[in-house]
Amino acid sequence: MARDPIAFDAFGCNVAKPDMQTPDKLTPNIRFERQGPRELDIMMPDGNKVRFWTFRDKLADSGADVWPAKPIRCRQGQIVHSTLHAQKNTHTIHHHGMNSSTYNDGVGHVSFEVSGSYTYQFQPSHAGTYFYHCHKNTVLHFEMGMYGFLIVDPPTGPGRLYEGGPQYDVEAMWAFDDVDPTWRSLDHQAGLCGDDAGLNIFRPKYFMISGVPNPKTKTDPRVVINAKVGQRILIRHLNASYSILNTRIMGLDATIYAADGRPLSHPNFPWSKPIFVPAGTAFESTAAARRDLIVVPTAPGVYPVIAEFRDWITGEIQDSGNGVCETFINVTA
Amino acid sequence: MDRREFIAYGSAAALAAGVIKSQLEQVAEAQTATVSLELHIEEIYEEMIDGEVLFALAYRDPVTRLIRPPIFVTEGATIKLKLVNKTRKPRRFALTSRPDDKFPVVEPGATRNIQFLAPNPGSYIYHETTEGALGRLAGLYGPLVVMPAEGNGRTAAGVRTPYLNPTPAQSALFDALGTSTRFPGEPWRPELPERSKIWMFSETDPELNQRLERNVATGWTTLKSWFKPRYFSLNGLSGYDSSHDESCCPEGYEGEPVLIRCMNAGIATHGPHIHGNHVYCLSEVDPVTLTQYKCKNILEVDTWMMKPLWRKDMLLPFIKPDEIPAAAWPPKQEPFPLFYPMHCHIEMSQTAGGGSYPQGMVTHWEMLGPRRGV
Repeated sequence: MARDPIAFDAFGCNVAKPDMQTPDKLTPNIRFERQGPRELDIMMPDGNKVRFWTFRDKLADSGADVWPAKPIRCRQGQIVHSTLHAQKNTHTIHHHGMNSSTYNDGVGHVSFEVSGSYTYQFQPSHAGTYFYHCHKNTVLHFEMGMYGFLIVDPPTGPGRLYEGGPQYDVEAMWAFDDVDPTWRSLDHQAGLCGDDAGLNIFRPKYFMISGVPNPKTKTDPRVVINAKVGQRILIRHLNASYSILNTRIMGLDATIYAADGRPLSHPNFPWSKPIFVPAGTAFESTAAARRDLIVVPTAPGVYPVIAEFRDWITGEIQDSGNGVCETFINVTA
Repeated sequence: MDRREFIAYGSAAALAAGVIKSQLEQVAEAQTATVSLELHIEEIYEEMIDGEVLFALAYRDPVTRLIRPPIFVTEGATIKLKLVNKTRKPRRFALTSRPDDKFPVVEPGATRNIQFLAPNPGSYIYHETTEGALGRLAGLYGPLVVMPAEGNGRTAAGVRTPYLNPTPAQSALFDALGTSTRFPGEPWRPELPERSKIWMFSETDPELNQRLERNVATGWTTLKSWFKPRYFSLNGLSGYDSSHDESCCPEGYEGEPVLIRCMNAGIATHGPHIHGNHVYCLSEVDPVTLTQYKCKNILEVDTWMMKPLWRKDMLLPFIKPDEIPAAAWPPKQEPFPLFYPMHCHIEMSQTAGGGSYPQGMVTHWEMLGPRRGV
């Protein structure tokens, strides 16, 4: 097979970066604007400050940057315009799980990278849990943190996972992540032009849920769930790590009602059904997978949640057994 | 380059492209009750995507010269396999879902004939087990596909599936293809080679290949503690090449579903993620016995897990990408084909030689246009 030298080059450091306009552009129902990368440092429990890259909400944020980036939240059926403003170098946004046209999919080597601004257009068809992330040099940019949740509510809005699906009273968004501090000083372009940046070796030392490092995950209100007996808790579970994740909810049964933004209890999809997860049983997820769990506590208590991050080759818990995050579901009468 | 054949990148791609012709021929032959095959076990030099040339091992069809050739047979067939070991070490053919020591060792320079019955319809990996996963990681692997016999593998409505006695969930899904608003177009058509693909995942650590070339004692029992792959492949290709090779890349029009048999010959766990359409997981693997089983609960996912030696059959429905606005379909200002990647989201696998993203385990699928004739 003869290679097209220009196309082959686009797989490296010569990806197209034209000044693009959104094709077949429609009038949006809702707009989002994200500016990135923005750099911020997070203090780890051992006192080390670790660098992250995030996106800023250009329409709303004026204070400190947050990581993970602010969720994009819209409703099924809306025409969504999501604009990326590349702060420096080139980046993209891939709205993961949104099956958009190629130009609106945010993958540089099949379309283009963004050096100024570009508006991605899509119309969500399925309510559920998704996320968005930079898809340039993804191995590095995703690990550096350029991501946030993307939530699609049913047309009626929050409170129900999807049309005809389960209702919920309490909502949690848990993004599980692992962090290799040795990658933090790499340049945006690291490795792209053929240099050995060591990006095939990943040795995470910090383990986090939604931007909070373990063991602060046990107390931080961004992670800990507080609910009352009988309330229906929705956990939007995202494996944003490069590990195999085993998650156990101790003392509480759970039911998975959706996978990767697709319902498991919908009359139009008779081949799928919800998955029951008995209390204390691990359910396993690979990188980028999303699972939506409903938990309904029937008694007051403090219920631990334990997530193990396992290495993709050895299958062992990362960092010599330290690759664990713990948090709690606190249930009151 | 002594007696070992050099598999340059271009020629490797050409060999892989030949799979389609081979598949057609084999599908025709596979309807017979007895299938006679010959595989040579060879030492070769193989070029990686960045030009690095490594010692490797491969099963080779001596007639087509294909390395790691796909084998297609029909349920119930007797497979007569002639094995010729042209390497310097003993080798033992193995097949997933069968015990690792089921087949006899073939000594260096020797020829052995083995015979076995085709297992149940499904997807299998043939590999090599004299030193655990070492032979497999050096390249001794390939796919074996067992198809239902003519007339079998149908739903109650008569729709063809890849399985004997499909589960109710599988039947509901296959019956819906081409007959429902969710899946306008055609049913799955197994008689068309372009409606079935194989994605074989693997990875390479040059350190291992160099040790094997020098015949240095290699601790296969401690392999996982030192194995650090630097190259990641799909059907033996990487990056640009696996994204443009017809053995990897599904292409078609809206409404033309494709079955993708995903197999992992490596020892790393992978997390394939597909863009453009979600896919339907038709089969899983028992993690202990590595036996493939038919799903009674079919999940529609964009990301799925592939542990070592797992096989999962995924249905790519080739529907209009769900999130292209209805008012923008078919696109007027954006040209067809629409290109979508499939890549592993454990992103270290997207590199080559420590960088060069995305020259790793990635491919594309292409939607050539809206439904034909509509």
